Amino acid sequence: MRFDMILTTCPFCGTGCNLYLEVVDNEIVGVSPAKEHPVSRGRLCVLGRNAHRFVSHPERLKKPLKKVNGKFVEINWNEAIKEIASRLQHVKESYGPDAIGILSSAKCTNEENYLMMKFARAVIGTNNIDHCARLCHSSTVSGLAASFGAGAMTNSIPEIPDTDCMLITGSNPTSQHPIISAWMMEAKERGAKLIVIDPRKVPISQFADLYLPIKPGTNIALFNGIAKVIIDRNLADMDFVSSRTEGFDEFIEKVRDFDLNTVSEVTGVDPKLIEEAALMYGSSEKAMIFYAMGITQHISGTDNVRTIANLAMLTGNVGRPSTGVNPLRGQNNVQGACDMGALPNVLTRYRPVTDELARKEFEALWGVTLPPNVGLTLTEMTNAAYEGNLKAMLIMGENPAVTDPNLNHVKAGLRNLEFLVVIDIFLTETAQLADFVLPAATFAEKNGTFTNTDRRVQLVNKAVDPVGEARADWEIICMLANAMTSNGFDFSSPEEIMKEIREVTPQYRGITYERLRKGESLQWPCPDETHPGTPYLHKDGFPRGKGKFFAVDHKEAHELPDENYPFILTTGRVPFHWHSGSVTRRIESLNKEVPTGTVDINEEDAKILGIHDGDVVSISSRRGTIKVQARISKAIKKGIVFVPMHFVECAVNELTDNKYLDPIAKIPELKVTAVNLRKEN
Amino acid sequence: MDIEKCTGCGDCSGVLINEYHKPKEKDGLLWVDRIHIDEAACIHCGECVRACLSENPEAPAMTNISFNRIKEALNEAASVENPSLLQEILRMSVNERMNFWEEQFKKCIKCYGCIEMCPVYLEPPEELAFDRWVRKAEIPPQYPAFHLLRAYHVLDTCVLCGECESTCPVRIPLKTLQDITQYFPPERVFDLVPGLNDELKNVIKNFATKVRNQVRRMDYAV
Ligand code: SF4
Ligand code: SF4
Ligand code: SF4
Repeated sequence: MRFDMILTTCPFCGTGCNLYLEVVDNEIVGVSPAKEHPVSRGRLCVLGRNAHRFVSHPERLKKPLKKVNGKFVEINWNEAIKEIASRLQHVKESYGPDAIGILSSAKCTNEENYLMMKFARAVIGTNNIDHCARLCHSSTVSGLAASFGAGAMTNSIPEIPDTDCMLITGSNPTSQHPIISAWMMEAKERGAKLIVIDPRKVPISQFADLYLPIKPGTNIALFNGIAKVIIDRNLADMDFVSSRTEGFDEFIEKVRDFDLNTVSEVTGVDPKLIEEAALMYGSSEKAMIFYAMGITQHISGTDNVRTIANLAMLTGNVGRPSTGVNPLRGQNNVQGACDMGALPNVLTRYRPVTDELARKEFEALWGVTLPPNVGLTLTEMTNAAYEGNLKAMLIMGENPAVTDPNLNHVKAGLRNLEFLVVIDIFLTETAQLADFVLPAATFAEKNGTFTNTDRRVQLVNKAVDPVGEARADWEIICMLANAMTSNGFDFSSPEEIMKEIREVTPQYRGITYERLRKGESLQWPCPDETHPGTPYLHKDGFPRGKGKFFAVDHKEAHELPDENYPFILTTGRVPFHWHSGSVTRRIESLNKEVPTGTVDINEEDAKILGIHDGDVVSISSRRGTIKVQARISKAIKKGIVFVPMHFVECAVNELTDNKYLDPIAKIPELKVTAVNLRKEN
Repeated sequence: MDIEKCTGCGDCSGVLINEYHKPKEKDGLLWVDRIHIDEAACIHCGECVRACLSENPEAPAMTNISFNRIKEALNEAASVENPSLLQEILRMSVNERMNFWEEQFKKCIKCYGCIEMCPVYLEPPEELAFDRWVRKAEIPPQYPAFHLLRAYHVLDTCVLCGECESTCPVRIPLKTLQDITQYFPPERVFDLVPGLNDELKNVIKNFATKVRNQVRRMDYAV
């Protein structure tokens, strides 16, 4: 009998906790936290503690599947790869490369995302590559790129306890980033001030010095209002503003005439509270802003992010420890998937595909000609599939048939494809629609790296052999590429792929497997092998030179409540489940805690509608209807209801809308949907 | 390593320290060190103290460290300059204690780490099962019910290793809670950790009476 403890990185959220998998004879028997890890420090949340429980689940896919007469049959790898390669080739030849769309995955490693984007661009010849970051932080990437020149968390998690003030907006860290919320509570215990802005009294608001119950979709008005108070009270850091930024004059022009009473009318927040929040944030020596989906998932997502960056620049809270603009990124490797260029508009290191110089560099290395036009985003791909312009899709480790807005439309789109290939670990709702399904390895069955939300590149180490004939995603991509007779895919290990990544990505250049194995914790940018990594960004300057203020106007959410649909529906997560639920709903201990979805309804609203706790209600939007149990709550604002996204039997994304997108980031407005409620009998 | 050949001598913990296996990693890598034992290498089961006391009632020589610590805590509750947390709690009024524990317990994110990491936690007795007393899916879970229940689940097995506290993401002083539930009879515990409803109090009291003869530590409580 052999017993090993394999150090690896948690496969769930972007916090990037490390843990040991306890392995007895090729079977994982438990999880043990890693005490020496700088972020997790021997602690884990409920998901990390259950991270091993899905690896050997009986429903894991063990063989490649092919759909024959509407039914899946098992086939061998050789045949599967050969057939897929020739059908992709056929689509490419008949309709052109842009008739193929590829979804990479924020759950997969950096190496796999790099390969997938190389596959799309070099083998297929299209920029139609995207992943679920589109639905979460694409507006962060576009917003912060415009303000600072780099779209990532500016500071580090371990800096949190030394801050003087935390402003958390549109984020529920207790549920979504539990170990980060633990750091925040440490800061609180050390005397930091806490401001929470959210339509729901999220658990962390119990500790808040100020809680601002904002109406969803009114962030810009609120942050402009806060900026106005900071300027009026002379709390702006004018040294920072004049030496490090530009665009301040237009900005001040915009907010000068703001009147707090109007802001209050728009946002539903008491003007006194707005003023107090501005004073608290503005007068703190070091203040950190944290935000997540409540800011980004709006048609004004990019502008929301810009107004947050405005606030940080206005008060000089950038470029120092324990300050900054800190988007909390959701998936374990969503930062990495973006860094690797699994996006339709950029290559690695965020170099635009439209930039000829950038293309030339990659063309020289890869020995191919690259497409110069920006590709389709994930939301546009499903639309194009629906309209028949996209003919084939290759989806790796994503489940758009649960997670994307307006599901009925998404599923119709996927069904409309001539050819769909899904690479996944379970037969997900999306995989069920596929022509071919390829069985992938989980995080515990392969090597690679994940990049967490504070830009820490961390090792994923193989603990056990893949179940059945499952293979690591990077191997699958290489097999496909080789079958399509492409050069440049002869990799024998993820470490080799990392070598190529380092060559084309200066931020990653100094990050080697060797250093990581020695236990170094490296945050990009890390330009050479002696560089210790960068805990906080923009110390001496912004990548774009000067930080830019944006004067932006409040923009109404697209779908406001009306007579027929009088409530605002907002979506999100619960702490015991993960995204589409394809993993966590197969973990018994988690399912026991939360077996299915519920809708949170304000108690006064419930009284008027005659709805009691536990009643089944049907919720309808212009796109669909779901039935779900009611949970009566004081924690949610009147007029707003909340439904988590994990549960396919009451899939909230049947209600959400996919048509109206942020014009720059193309992120849908998942946080504001007009709905009505009816009690079922 | 090969478990079947392991004799548990612990030598490996000396040999295995190199650049990949850092000495500060007490828990993660070494089989024999899976249970973290305190400075005095004491498992606090009370057996040794009991044996030692019966052999040598005047000057017990064995590892009665915790016993003495608790006694000291009680004696010096009013006088020490830098009181331990337990001493502070003993000095508080009921209201202060209520607030103290509320501030702590409301941080709980229900990660179940205090249970997962506990080396002695087994299936809890039916009458104390969470299903009966704690609503699911709620964060923070109802307090102090969730935390006292967990502590009483290990009433007869806790070795006071402190793993529950060291893995708690939000740093709730769970080791102190263990000290309290291990060294004090339930009536006193309900006073030191106030706020439990009467029904659950009774169930816990009955349970404690049932396993009383296995909880020798309590013999030394004051
Ligand atoms: S906080 Fe995130 S990374 Fe850490 S254990 Fe939980 S899910 Fe995993
Ligand atoms: S101290 Fe905590 S972890 Fe250790 S045995 Fe007791 S209850 Fe379990
Ligand atoms: S370890 Fe701490 S946070 Fe986790 S369940 Fe136990 S008391 Fe709660």
